[in-house]
Amino acid sequence: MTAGGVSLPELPEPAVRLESTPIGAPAAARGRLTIDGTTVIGLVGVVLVGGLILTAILAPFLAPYDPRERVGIPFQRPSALYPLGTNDIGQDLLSELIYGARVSLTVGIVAATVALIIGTTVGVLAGFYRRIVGSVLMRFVDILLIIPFLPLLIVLAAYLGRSLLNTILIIGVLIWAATARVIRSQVLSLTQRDYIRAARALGASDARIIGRHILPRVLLLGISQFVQATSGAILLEASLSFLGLGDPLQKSWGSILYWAQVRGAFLTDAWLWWVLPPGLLIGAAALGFALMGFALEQRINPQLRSGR
Amino acid sequence: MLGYRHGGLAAVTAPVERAAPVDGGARDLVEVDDLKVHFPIFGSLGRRHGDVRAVDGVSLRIRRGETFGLVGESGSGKTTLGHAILRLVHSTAGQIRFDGQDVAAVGARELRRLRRRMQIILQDPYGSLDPYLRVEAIIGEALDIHGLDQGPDRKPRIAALLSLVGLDAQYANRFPHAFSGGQRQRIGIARALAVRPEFIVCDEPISALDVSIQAQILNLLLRLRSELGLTYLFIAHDLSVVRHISDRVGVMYLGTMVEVGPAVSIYARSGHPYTRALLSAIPVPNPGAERRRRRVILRGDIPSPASPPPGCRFHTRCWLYEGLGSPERCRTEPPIPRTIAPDHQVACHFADETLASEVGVVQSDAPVQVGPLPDVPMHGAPMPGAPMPGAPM
Ligand SMILES: Nc1ncnc2c1ncn2[C@@H]1O[C@H](COP(=O)(O)OP(=O)(O)O)[C@@H](O)[C@H]1O
Ligand code: SF4
Ligand SMILES: [Mg+2]
Repeated sequence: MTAGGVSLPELPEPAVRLESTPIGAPAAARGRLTIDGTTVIGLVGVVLVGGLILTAILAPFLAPYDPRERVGIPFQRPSALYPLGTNDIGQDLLSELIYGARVSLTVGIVAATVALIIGTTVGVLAGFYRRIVGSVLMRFVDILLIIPFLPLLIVLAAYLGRSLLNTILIIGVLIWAATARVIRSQVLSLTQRDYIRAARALGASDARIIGRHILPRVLLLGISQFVQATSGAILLEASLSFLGLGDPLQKSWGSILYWAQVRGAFLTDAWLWWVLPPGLLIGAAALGFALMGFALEQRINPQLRSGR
Repeated sequence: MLGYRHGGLAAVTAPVERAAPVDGGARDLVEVDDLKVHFPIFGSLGRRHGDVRAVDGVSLRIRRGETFGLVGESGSGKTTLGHAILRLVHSTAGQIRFDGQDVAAVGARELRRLRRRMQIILQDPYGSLDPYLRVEAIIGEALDIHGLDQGPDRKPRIAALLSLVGLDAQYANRFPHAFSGGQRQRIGIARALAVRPEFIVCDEPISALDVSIQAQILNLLLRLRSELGLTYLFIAHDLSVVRHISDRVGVMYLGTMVEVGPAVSIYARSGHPYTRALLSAIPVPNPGAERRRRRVILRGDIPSPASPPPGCRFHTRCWLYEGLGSPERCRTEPPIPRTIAPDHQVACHFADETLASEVGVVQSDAPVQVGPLPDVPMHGAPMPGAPMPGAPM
């Protein structure tokens, strides 16, 4: 070794002390909570979703009647006894609505979970193995995103039969593509980071790199996608049920609308208490999740971009 | 004193097992032969439009225990070459052997074993540490991957590594954002050392740092080299850093190695116009010598490695080519490396003319020269029988 001692004489020998720096200085300045538009939007979403979830959980205490029981004369107008009237077979509409929150939210959340699992798996694999696996998977994703949902949904539902599980699976299997795409682009950028290269140089396996350096970094993004997917899934469930393709044994908001339509409530002034309330609830649920998802995404994205 | 297990620093690098050199010990640690690394360029429709020829036919040898300095402008392919040696990118053609083993051909298990022996220190200290992991986890990951120093040994070993690189062990539970660039680079060095490597690619380890900190990190690397007996491939974009620490120096331009030789020889008698241009960019502390020096400035940018100029790739910017009246040879015929001094090869058709020129040479101790230098016979004339194309330079 020729060059033992180095001559950069004006500078001191290796520092054993730390060079200047703010050891305690937090990067926490970023992402601090300020009351801005995004926060307000997010809070509105949380209130809507929280209210509906509470309703679903507390349904037995909130609902005046058992929604399956015929408690009155059919086709009654709202009254003190039946705040939203009764349906075509004399069940209390308010109780149906309250219990309907359980079905609608469950389908939405479980279907979105299915979408989250598929979408994250596909997105991570397509981003990590971007050459062959990635292009094949993303071709498939593109097709799925182009196909109009509803016709496919109807065909699948009609073919597979009407059950809650089928509804959930069909919706989940149709809506993961958006999640996959978002996750993939995040993974693509993550795999270019130097610390991934360093891990590879250390001999880390793909599984370790994905599990330790990639998955945890896409989790937040996955959650925001999940919340948005829930919104879409609730709408899709309502559409399916409204078309009579939902589980005939479950009362969701969509199926209340289906029976209202079948019994002609849309054409009489019964729409005011039979059609409008489930419609509003579907809208509120979808909007609540969408707002939450939007706010989450706003919070996450800039942070991921600047946060190396 | 540093609290190493198995006593002393020797244990830090002593590899558990070494593949026996194929031909009985005379091998260089790293042997690269006619290496090509091309990156395909894809158009919007997924069509392949051609290749970025980041490394395009490079051969080199790195001897055990030496520091090989690799210089060249940004974009000349240094990083890609370093990555290819560690198989962080796939090589398109050519051969890389580490201690006799074909790096491109080894299986997954053997590759993991190789990766304990060769490591990398990355240029950007901000991007090279996972911002979501504590220092302990960052360094610990290196240990975990290879099942080294697990259980009760883990913590003390991480502490020992931190103090080895001049950091206080108490910072093990901090996140990277709490550290300065220099400190982060130390953490990156500790991570690389965790697996007790023999060979480290230092990819511009100080260029992203404050000038005041550069020397500290450089000195750290030198101390580690001598204490741990490391072999370095030290990449830098200019010659000033490399000159102090390298035994041999290689100069890359646009994916090719244009000159290789002992550091002393390269600095005193470079035979390539590109190296001379790089040399003349080095600041000289002695103002008298600075005034006497003939300098050339490299004009323009390095051409695109997707379509390198024909013939000698440097001819579009070569001052000698211009001075010689644009000889056709430079435009049509790629120069083949030839030996101009012991262990010193140059790929230039007009190496003799370069040698005769004073461009970029610092004559700090020489008396003031008036007029052109007489033709000084160099270390023997250019060797007869130029080496084969692709022969190690
Ligand atoms: N993964 C890649 N894909 C495409 N081009 C690349 C890739 N990596 C490097 N390059 C290109 O290869 C050339 C050499 O790059 P690099 O090895 O980083 O040079 P240096 O380290 O000398 O600056 C550059 O033109 C760069 O843009
Ligand atoms: S071969 Fe010609 S163009 Fe290339 S470096 Fe030598 S003189 Fe310049
Ligand atoms: Mg580089």
